[in-house]
Amino acid sequence: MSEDIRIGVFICHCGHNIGGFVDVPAVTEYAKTLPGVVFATHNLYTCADDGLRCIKDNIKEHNLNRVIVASCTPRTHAPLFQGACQEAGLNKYLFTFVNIREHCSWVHMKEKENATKKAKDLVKMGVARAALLAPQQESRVPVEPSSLVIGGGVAGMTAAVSLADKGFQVTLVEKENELGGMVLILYNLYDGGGDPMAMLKPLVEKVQSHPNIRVMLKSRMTALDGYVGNFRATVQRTDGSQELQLTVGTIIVATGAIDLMPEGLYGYDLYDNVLNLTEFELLCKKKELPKLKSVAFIQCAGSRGQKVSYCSRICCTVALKGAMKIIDNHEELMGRQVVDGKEQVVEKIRVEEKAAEDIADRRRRRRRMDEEREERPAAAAAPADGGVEVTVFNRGITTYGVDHELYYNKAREKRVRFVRFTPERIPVVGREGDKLTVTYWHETLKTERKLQVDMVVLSTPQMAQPDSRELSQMLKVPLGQEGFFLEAHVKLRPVDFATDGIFVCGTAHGPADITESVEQAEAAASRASIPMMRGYVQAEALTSTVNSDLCTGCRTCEFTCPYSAIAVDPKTQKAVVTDVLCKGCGTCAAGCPRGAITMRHYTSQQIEAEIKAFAECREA
Amino acid sequence: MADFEPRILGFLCNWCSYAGADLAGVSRMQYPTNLRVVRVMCSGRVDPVVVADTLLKGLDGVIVTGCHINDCHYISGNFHTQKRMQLLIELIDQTPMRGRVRLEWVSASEGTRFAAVMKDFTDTIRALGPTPLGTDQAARTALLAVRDTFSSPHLRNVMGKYFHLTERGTVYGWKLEPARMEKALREVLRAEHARALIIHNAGTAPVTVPRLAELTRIPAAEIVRHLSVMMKQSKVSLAGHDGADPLFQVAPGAGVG
Ligand SMILES: Cc1cc2nc3c(=O)[nH]c(=O)nc-3n(C[C@H](O)[C@H](O)[C@H](O)COP(=O)(O)OP(=O)(O)OC[C@H]3O[C@@H](n4cnc5c(N)ncnc54)[C@H](O)[C@@H]3O)c2cc1C
Repeated sequence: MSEDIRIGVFICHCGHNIGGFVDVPAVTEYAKTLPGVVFATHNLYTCADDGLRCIKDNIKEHNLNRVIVASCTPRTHAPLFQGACQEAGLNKYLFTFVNIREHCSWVHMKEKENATKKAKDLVKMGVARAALLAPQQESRVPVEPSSLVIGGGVAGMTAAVSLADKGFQVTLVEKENELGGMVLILYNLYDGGGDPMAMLKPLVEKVQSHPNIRVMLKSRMTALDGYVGNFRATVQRTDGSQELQLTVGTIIVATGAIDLMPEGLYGYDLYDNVLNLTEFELLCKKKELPKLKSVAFIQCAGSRGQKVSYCSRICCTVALKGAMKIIDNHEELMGRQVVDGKEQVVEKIRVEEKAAEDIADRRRRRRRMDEEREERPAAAAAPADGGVEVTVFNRGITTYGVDHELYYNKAREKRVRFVRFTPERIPVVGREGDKLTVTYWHETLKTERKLQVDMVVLSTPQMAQPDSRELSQMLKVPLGQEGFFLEAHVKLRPVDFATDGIFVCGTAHGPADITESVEQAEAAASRASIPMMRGYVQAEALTSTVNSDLCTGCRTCEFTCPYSAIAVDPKTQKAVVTDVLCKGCGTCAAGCPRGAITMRHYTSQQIEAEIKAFAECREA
Repeated sequence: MADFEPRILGFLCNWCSYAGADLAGVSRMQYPTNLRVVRVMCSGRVDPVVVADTLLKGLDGVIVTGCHINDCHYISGNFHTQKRMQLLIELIDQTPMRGRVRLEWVSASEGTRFAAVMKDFTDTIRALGPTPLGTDQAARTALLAVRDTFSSPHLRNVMGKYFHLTERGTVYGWKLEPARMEKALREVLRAEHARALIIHNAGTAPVTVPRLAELTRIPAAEIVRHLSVMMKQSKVSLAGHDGADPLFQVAPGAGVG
């Protein structure tokens, strides 16, 4: 090392706290013998004014270029001593803390000799480390006060308005030609929410008229570059007609979810009048349901182990909403058509006609299978009083929370029938004549029973968008097991991604209802506004650096880093660190196959010097 | 051995275990004086090679501590620590250094646990006695082989990508079954360990395959397979014959240390 190392060591008595259990003068004398140490002293309280003055004066007097304080814990006191160093013109990263209170005097109160020896060893290790320290620079990166919101459902629109109201410029990108998302197809809302359009329309109008919001319909983000504060996104019209480059400080992902297509389940692709939950909602809205005398809902259709593993949370409540609206409004909801000059109720929603074009983002493959089954006249299933009978086949009703449970009670009052089934014996949907049948195992009676119905609604789960992987790769953020976007921490950072400046809300994150989506949207907007309001992000000084001579471009570091802060440049085939994203954990450095990564301030040399110093302590 | 005082090095992550140690202090929990602490920001900073090196430097025990799984300040750093240390400890425990490396999770609120863990580890090392490295050449050879195994770029590559491939999926969008990935990792570990054992057991003079099999306790057929790979890597060369048996010479500097 060409630099002349001049270390000063300040050892603290902390009153009696250290001095009472460790021989501080002996440690000080020992420190003076260590390589590079040109000055060592002890203070009653190093953190007191005169202690700090002592540090500053001696930096100047002895021309110290490294300072060690052996006292309490860096977790509370490092900033104080670093400040003193800075005031005396020494870079704060040339300061070393040695903990001889929490880690020594306080935990070895009855072994003064051994505690003193330990304190000496710790000081020796600190001195070895200090000699190898290098000054570091902290930098700030400016943040563009604008945001890109991807997805124009309730979540995306709420986040956009929230940010725009705070004064930030927002670009809202929606791939369809209309704002609103899934709510557009809903007939009514549970929780007494009433008409969805009554809540949706004012929101859409607010978004469209807001001076700070630019809406881009029929558009998608197709490329992304940059990092928090300075993302450069390419947004393209879906027909490819237009392309736009924009620079934004933050990004909010609100791409929502799609409904599961229950192909191969419960006769969905075999029989007329078997609908999934979204089709049912839409046909309610359009008032095109078939004849409703007896209706069956089958819960968990495709979820909880059938096609996806999770519970979609809201389908129980949504099904009860459906059951009750059938009971209350069946006359109004049925479709009518005029046949031979007479109006009559639509009998059938044909398998091939169910594909309503206005249900967003549908990948439909349907096999029309042999329809001809045994033709037998069906017995009338309608209850005697001429009302409607609704049966909900379920694996346990999940109407979570205070209000939803009341909703369940209400459904019971309205005589919705609940029949439980187990995954081992699921109901079977069949057809007899032009009636649908549901054959099920009655758990209490222990017999098989058969119910004739006009319509079967399959309560299908919300599923991750099919293109979410593509988007997640563009954003460099992870997806969870089931393809939904995965937050940084389920409890502590529920709307953040690990990658700074990108946030998630709504059903893009997992099954949720409107209330929850809006809550998340407000949260995401609030989180996103933090760096934008501050105007800069403080880049960590202690980041990784890559020695490109040693790097082979194997991408191990890229796969290790949870922050997408290190990646192999496709042009040079060498790893590059984005300093503002790096948090300084050093996991990449400890895993690099070629030893090409140096973690600043925790270099291998510094760590090894500490270990070596201890290993050589045997005789001390 | 009555006056044996174990010399133990602990790597403590800043956010959990170091804070846990601080809390032990604030609570005046007493534990043995044998531990010396190296602070790192994350337990993920701890390279298994450095842990092996620490033992090679003559210390009696090494303990690595970090945040509990799912509580890592850096999200997933400790997943990597867990994988790395689990494999390291497995190999260490096959050598005379058995029991001298430990991994523990200690949170910032677990002062009592920190003290208990340190007492327990100190007692363990005290019972094991001083490091055998000074007197037992076989222990040193075995430890060198472990250290070199973890220096292997191939093993480090597979270890580093483990979580990405099993949890986030490959660049093609499919995920590897953890069981398959684990199997692949084990195969690489076994092979790299075998090659490191060959290098460190061969000595400086040329040796035959049967002799290598005897020294390393690896079946001769496997030795032959490894030697052919190692010849391509220029780590060994053919150095004549002993009767009908070919003699192999390990290149100087083939082992890292
Ligand atoms: C059948 C059914 C009934 C329901 N009933 C109720 C109810 O009664 N009460 C209730 O509270 N909730 C109900 N919900 C839930 C409610 O619909 C959702 O909580 C809500 O729609 C979530 O809003 P969102 O903005 O997160 O997602 P979405 O509404 O799905 O909106 C996402 C938007 O993003 C767009 N998008 C997707 N990908 C991209 C991309 N790559 N680029 C650009 N744009 C993209 C989509 O086109 C869409 O407009 C129901 C859901 C279903 C399926």
